[in-house]
Amino acid sequence: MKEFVSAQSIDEALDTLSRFGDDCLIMAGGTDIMIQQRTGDIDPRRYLHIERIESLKGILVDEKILIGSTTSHHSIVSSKNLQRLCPGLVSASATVGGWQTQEAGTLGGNICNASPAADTIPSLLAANALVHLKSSSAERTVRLDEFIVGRRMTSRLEGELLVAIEVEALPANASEVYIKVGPRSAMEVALVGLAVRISISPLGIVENVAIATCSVGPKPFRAIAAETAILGSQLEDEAVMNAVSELTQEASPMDDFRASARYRKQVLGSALVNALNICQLQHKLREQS
Amino acid sequence: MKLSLTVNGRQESLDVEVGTSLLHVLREQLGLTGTKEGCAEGECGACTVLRDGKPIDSCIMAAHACEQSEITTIEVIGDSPDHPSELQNCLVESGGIQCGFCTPGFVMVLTALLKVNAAPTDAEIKHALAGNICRCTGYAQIIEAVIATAKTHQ
Ligand SMILES: Cc1cc2nc3c(=O)[nH]c(=O)nc-3n(C[C@H](O)[C@H](O)[C@H](O)COP(=O)(O)OP(=O)(O)OC[C@H]3O[C@@H](n4cnc5c(N)ncnc54)[C@H](O)[C@@H]3O)c2cc1C
Ligand code: FES
Ligand code: FES
Repeated sequence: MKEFVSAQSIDEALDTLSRFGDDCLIMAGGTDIMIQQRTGDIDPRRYLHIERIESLKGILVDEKILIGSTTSHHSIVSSKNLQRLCPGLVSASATVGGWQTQEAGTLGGNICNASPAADTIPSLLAANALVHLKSSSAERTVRLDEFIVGRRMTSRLEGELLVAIEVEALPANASEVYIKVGPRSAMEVALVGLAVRISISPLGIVENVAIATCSVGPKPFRAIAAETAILGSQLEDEAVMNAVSELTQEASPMDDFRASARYRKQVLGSALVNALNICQLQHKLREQS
Repeated sequence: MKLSLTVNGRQESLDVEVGTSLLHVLREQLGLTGTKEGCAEGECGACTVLRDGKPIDSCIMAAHACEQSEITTIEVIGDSPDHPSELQNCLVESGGIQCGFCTPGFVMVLTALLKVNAAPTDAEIKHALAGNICRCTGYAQIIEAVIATAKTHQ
């Protein structure tokens, strides 16, 4: 007979995980799991439900920002602190399905499901996110780009629970955006997702930049070569075009019934140009005020 | 596996296979057929119920994940079938109901919206309804009904 354990504390969850390991599937909001189960992709014998554990929920803003793994997309979107300190993540969570999906779906679930189209991952990568993992015997912190290792694959070890996600706050002189391109933004898998976080000096020089994408390869990634192309520039056309070319070269999007790979690459390039324009505009408005 | 659920204020004790959706339990085991199954994959909102006051798609919610929640379904919206809620009245009057299949889901989401925002704007209503599909009305009459409901409360 199948089993369903609803843990009330982290210790209880870790204890169950240490006993059953991979023979037990962690369930947060279940929005991915229930569909995978229906289509027959998975057939777990035992669920460990973690949504009731209070200490896995919530947003802590101190020197660093910690987001509990079962914090819902709706809570992220509604958080005044995150709207100010991590607006890219807020925009990304706001595109994860409709209201119902955002109430049930969690940030930790979006990360651990590790879909190539996971909307929150680009903004998290741009904010240098770290994931905090715990098992009954150990604790570790891993960079998000090392945690997501491939299409629907993470480096989570047997018995580990994702406890929290740590992100860097947006610096005072920085701007960020998340651009999701799809037939319509809510309720659709992104054709292209692109996050940019950028700091521009009063003289208009790019002092820091992070560019990350989803839906254009087997896993979301930071586009380091594109970042290098505009770092130190004043976002002149030439620098931007170089970044576009680096970004589209690094992308390896799918060719499927929804869009061709060539189209996705073109859209990705335009998304970067748009994102940089929006950030530059935000920067100018800030300088004027 | 045993399941105890609180639905519409009533405590229910059931035997349910693990992995079964809340929607299945409501319709097939509790006979609450007001909640509809459209897509069965979280896309259409026809199966929306309130879980601790928050709208969720019951087709992709595990029943056992609701043991400590209060579930509210369309059956208890309004005082009785003869005395629907103000929102339900407005939906009828505006022509926001045609075949009616999507209506329970819309009523649940909009009831939740009006609870947190008594006078939502057009944009706020559309945003709240991103997860609900209606094949008949074209949405304009539904939005009209929400605005009319908000006015009766002023
Ligand atoms: C209608 C609909 C629309 C959607 N639209 C989008 C969209 O636009 N963009 C998008 O990115 N996603 C979308 N999704 C997918 C999904 O809603 C999100 O990925 C959501 O964030 C998953 O969270 P969850 O809590 O429901 O995950 P679950 O289904 O509970 O879990 C997902 C996976 O993560 C694992 N897991 C969960 N939490 C932990 C943890 N703390 N530690 C270790 N492992 C864990 C689970 O074992 C499972 O493998 C959509 C889903 C639906 C149904
Ligand atoms: S039946 Fe649940 S969302 Fe369509
Ligand atoms: S009234 Fe028919 S689907 Fe909405």
